[in-house]
Amino acid sequence: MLKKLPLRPRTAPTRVTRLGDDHMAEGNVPFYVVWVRCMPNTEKIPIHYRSSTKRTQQQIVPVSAANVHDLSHVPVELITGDDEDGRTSRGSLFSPKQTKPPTFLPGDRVIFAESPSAPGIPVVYRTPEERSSNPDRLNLDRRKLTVCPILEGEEQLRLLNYQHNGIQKIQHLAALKRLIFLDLYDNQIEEISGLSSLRSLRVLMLGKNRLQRIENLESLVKLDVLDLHGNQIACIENLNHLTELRVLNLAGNAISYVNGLKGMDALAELNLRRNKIRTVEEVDTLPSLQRLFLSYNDISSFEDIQCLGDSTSLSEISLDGNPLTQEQYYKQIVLRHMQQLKQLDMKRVTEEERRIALVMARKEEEKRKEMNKLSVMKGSFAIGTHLTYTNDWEKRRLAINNAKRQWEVMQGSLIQKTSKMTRQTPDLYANHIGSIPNSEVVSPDQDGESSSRDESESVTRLDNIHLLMSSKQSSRANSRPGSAHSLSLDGGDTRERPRTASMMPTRRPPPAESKPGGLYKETMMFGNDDKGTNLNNLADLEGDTLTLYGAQSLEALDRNWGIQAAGAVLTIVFNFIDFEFIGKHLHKIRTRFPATQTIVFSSTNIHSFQQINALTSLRRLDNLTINLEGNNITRYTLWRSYILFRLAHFALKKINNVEVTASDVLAAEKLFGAISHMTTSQLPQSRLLSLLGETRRKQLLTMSEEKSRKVLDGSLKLDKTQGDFVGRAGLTYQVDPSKSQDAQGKKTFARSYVNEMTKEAIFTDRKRNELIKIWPQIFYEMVYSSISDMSDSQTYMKKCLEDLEKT
Amino acid sequence: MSVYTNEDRFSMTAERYLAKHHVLVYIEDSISQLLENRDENPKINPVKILSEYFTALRDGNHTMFREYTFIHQTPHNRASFVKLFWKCYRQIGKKGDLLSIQEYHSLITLLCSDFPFEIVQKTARIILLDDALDCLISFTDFIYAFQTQFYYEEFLDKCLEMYQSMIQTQSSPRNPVVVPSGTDDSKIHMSSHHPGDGVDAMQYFRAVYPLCDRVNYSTPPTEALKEILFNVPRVSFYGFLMAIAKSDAINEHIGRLPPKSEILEGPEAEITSGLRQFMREHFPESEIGPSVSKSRPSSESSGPVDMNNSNPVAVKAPAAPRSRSVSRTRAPARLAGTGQSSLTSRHRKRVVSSDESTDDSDDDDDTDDD
Repeated sequence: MLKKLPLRPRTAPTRVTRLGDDHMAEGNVPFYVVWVRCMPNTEKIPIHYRSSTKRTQQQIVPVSAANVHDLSHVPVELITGDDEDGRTSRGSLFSPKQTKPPTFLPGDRVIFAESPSAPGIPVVYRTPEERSSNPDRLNLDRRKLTVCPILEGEEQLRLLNYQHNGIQKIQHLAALKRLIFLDLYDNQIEEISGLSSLRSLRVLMLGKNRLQRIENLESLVKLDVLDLHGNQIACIENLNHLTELRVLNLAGNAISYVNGLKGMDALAELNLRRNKIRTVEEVDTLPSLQRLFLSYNDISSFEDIQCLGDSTSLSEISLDGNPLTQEQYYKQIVLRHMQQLKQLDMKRVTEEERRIALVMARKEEEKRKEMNKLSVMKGSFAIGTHLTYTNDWEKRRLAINNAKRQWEVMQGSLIQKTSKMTRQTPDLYANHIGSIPNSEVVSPDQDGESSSRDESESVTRLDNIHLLMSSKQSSRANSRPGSAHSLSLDGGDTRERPRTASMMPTRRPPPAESKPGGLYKETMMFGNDDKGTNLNNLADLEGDTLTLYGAQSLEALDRNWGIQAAGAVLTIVFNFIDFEFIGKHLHKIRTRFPATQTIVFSSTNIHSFQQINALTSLRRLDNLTINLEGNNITRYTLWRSYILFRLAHFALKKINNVEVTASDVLAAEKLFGAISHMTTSQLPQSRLLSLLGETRRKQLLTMSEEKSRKVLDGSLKLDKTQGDFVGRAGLTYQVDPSKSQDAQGKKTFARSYVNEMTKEAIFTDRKRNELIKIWPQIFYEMVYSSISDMSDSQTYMKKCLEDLEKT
Repeated sequence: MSVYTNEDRFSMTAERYLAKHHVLVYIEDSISQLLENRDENPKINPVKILSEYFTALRDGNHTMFREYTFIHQTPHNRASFVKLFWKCYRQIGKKGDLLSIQEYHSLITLLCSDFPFEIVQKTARIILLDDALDCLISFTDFIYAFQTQFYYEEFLDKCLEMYQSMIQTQSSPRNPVVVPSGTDDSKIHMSSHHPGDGVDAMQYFRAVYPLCDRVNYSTPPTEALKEILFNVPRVSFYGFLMAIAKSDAINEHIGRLPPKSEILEGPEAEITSGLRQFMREHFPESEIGPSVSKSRPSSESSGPVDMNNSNPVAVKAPAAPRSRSVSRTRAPARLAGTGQSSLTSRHRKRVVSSDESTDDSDDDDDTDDD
C-alpha cells in the first residue's frame, strides 16, 4: 500500500542542513542513503505541519516540504512491498506506516541487455523472483545510462528511479501505464517529453537537468508533486491544468517574473528560491497555497510582491536574501499585510511581532480611511529600482505641478476680488506667479546642511527673478524694501531648468545610513485618483525635511510617520498652501514633529501680522523663512521686526536665512514693546487672564502671588521676563469661530437681561416722577381736610362716633 | 457744546439719556464679559471684575483685543481705539517708517482681529489720490486721517452723499437749486467754469450744517467746520476730509490724541529688565548683551534728537518723498481745476496750522460710565 510506504525521505546525514536550503539542487553533494526510521504516525499529516513533526533517529531535523526533490533520493527498494492495491490517495505518499531495513542493494539483480531491434538501447530485465518480490518498483540509480532503457515485462511498475544517470531524453515509458513515481533527478534531459501516456503519474522529479521550458505535461492531470529545480527554466508556463498539484519546486532556475500560476487550485507549496525574481504575481489566485519560498531573489520593493498581501491562505513565507529585507520596517510591513502568517523567513512569528504589526496596520488603516488617499507610496530609495523610481518621480512632479496650478487659480480669483482694492497688486501677483521657478518644484537635498544652503540659494535666486520682473514693470514696484539682494540677474529662468534636470541624479543615490538612524524617505500623494490629473497634492519626507505641497497635504501632519522618522524631521516646508489652512494645523507640529527647528513658507499667502501669531503654537523654532514669493507680508516694512517681537520666546536665529542680531531684537522690542506693555499694565487682570490659556493662567496666578512677595525683596527680574511674554498673549491667531458664537449667546442674554432691568427701572422712575408731581396736591388735600375737621370738632366727633357705631 | 445745548440731561427722557450716552451698551457688555470670565474661572469676584471693567472703560483701555462690533459701537470706544493704536504704535511713527495701508491694517488687526479693511482703505483715500492707494503713508498722516474716518464714519458718509448730489446738480445747470438757501447765481457762475471740481464752500457748509445736530452719530463741532469752510471759496470732498483730519480743533474735540506737534512725543520705548535679561541669555557673545543696560542712558540721551525729529516736518523729510509727491500731484490738479485759490492741500496746511478757535471740548464720553 502506497499509503504505508515510508516514502518520505527522512533525512540523509549530509543533508542535515538548513531547512529549505536547496543546495542539493546543485547536486554536488555526495549522497548516501542512510535510512531512516519513520515515525509510527499513520495519520495523514497536513503538509504545512510536517516540518514540525519530523523526527529522525539520528538527529532532529525539521524537514521542509520545500525540499520536494528529496523524494528523488528515496531509495525505492526500501519501500516495502505490501502496497499492491495501489491506493493513490493524495496524502499517502507522505504518510509512511512502516519501513523495513534494506536487505540488499537495489538494482543488483537487474540484467542489462542490448535490444536486437534497436541497437545501442539497453533492455532491462529482472529475474522473475525479483520481479515478483518487488513488482511495482525499479531502481536504476547510477547506472551510467545515457538513454532510457527499454523495460521488459515491467507493466506493473509504479515507482521508477533513474537518478544520477546521463539520460538525455525521456523515452520508452509508454507501457508503464500504472507508473506513479518517476524520478529523473540528476540527468541531462533537455526537454520534457515522452510522458503523455503516464496518466496516473503523481510524482515527477526532474531536478538537476537541463530543461529550458515547462512543457508536454498536458496529460499528467493527476500530478501531485512536480520537481523542476536546478534547471534553466525562465518562465512559468503550461501548468494551469494541474489542478491536483500540491507541491511545485522551481528553485534554482532563471525565473524573473512569477505568473502563470492560475488554475493550480491545490497547490500548497511553491518553492521559488534562488531565481532572479523581481516581480511576483497571481499568487493570490492560488486558493490553497500555504508555503511560499522566495528567498535569494531580486525582489526590491513591496509593490512587486503586492499580491502576497491578497492571499488569505499563506501561512509561511520566506523572503530572506532579497534586497527588500534591507528595509527598516521590512518585517513589520510584511506582517502588516499578511496577518495570518505563522512563519517568516523560517522563524516563527511571535505574538509580540504580530501585535506591533497589527497596531501599525490599524493606524495605517485609520489614516487611509480618514484621508481618502488612494495611493501611498513607500519605498526606501536604497533599494528603489530605477523603474519605480522614475515612475515616482513623474508622479511627484505631476502632483506638485497640480498643487501649484491650483494655487495659481486660487490666487487668480483672489486677484479679481482685490483688484479694485489695490490696483497694483495684480501686477505683483502676476510677477509672483510668473516667476515661480522650477526649482521651487524641486525638494531640497537630503543632507540637512546642504538643504539649508540650497534653500538660501534659491531664495536669493527667486529674489533676482523678482527683481528682474519688477524692473520691467513700473519702477515703483521695484523699490520694494527688502528686494535688494544680489545683482546677478543674467537669465534667471534659464538657470533654473538645468537645475531641475540635475536634481534627478542627485536625489537618487543613497548616501544611506551615513547618519545614525539612516535617512527616511516617504512620499504621500493625495488626490481623487492616483493616476493622471487628479493627483494634486503631495507630502514628501526626505531625510530631515518634510515638504508639503497643496492644501490637502496638510493631512500628512495627522499621519503617523513613525517615531524615528518624525523625530528626525528638522525642517518643514510649506508650498502652495494658503496660510488659513496651515494655521489650523500648526499646533500639530508640536506633537508630531517635536524636533522641528526650521519652517519654510513659500507661496502660502501670509499677508498679515496676525498670522504670525499662529506660529506661537510651535514648540521650538530656530529658523523661519517666509519666501518673498506668494507671501505679501514680506512687502511690509516691519514684518521682520514683528516676527522677532512676537516670537521672541523662540529666540530665533535666522529669518529668511539672515542672522538675527541683538540689535534687531532690540529694535523690534522698541517698536512693538508698547503693545506688550499695554497688555500687562492697562488691561484689567480678568481680561488678561482670559487671554491666557489654562496652564499659563495658573502660572501667572502663582507668579503674581510671588511677585507681591518679591516686591518686598525688590527682585523682580525673572517675573519681568515672564511678564514680557505674557504681554504678548493677547496677540493671537483666531481660527475657531465657535468661541465667538458662544460669546454671541452671552451677549444676547446680557442684552435681554439689561433690557428688562432698564425697563423696570425706567418704569419705577416714571412712577416716582408721577408721585412727585401729584404729591403737593395730595398733601394739600390732606392738610385741608384735617383742618376742616378740626375747625368743627363737635361735628367731627359726632361723625366719628357714628362711624364707630355702624361698624 | 453747541451740538447738545438744546438738550440738558434733565429734560431728556430716560431712554434718550441712556441711548445718548450708550450706557446700556456698556452695561450689557460688562455683563457678558462677566459671564465669560465666570465660565473660565467660577470663583471670580463680580464686583472686582465690574470695577476693573469700568475703570478700564474710563481710562479708554477697554478696546484692546475686542471685537470690531464692540469697538465700532460707541464714539467713546472708537476714540479710545484710535488712542490705543497710537499708544501701541507710536514708536513706529517715531522711527519714521512709511507703511502701506495693508500694513497699517495688519497692525490694526493685531489689536482687533476682525477689523475691516474697508475703513483703512477709506482712510487712505483721505490722504492719497484714488489711483495711488498703494503708496506709503507716514504714521502721523495716517493716525489723524484714521481718527477722522473712524470716529466720524457716518457723518462722512452723509457728507459724501451731499457732496455728490451737489456735484450732480452743478453739472446740470438747468436745475441748480439743491440747497434751499443757496445763492444760485454764484453757483451757476462757478459751474460754468469748472463743473465737477469741488463745490462752493459756503453752500457746502449750509448743506452739511443740519447734519451736525444729530444724536445718533458724532459730528465735528460746527465751529470747526465753519473755520474750515469759511476760509476758502471752493472745496472738494477729500479736501474737506483732509482739513477735518488736520484740524487740531476737531482733534481736541474728540479729545484723545495729542495735538499734531506732540503726536510723536512721549517716553522712549521701554527696554524692560526682562528683555535685558533675555538679551543677555541669547546674545551673550555680542557686546550688545552686557551693554544693553549701558545703552539705556545713551538711548535716552539720544531722546532729544528724536524729539527734534518728532517735529512732523522733520520726520517726513527723510522718507516721505512718495507720499509727498502724491499730495503734490493732487495739489496742482486742484489748482488747475478751480482756477483761483481753492482749498489745496498746501493751503489747507497753512489754514490748519495758523488758525484755531478751539471749541469747548465735549465731555459726553466721560459721562458714560457713571
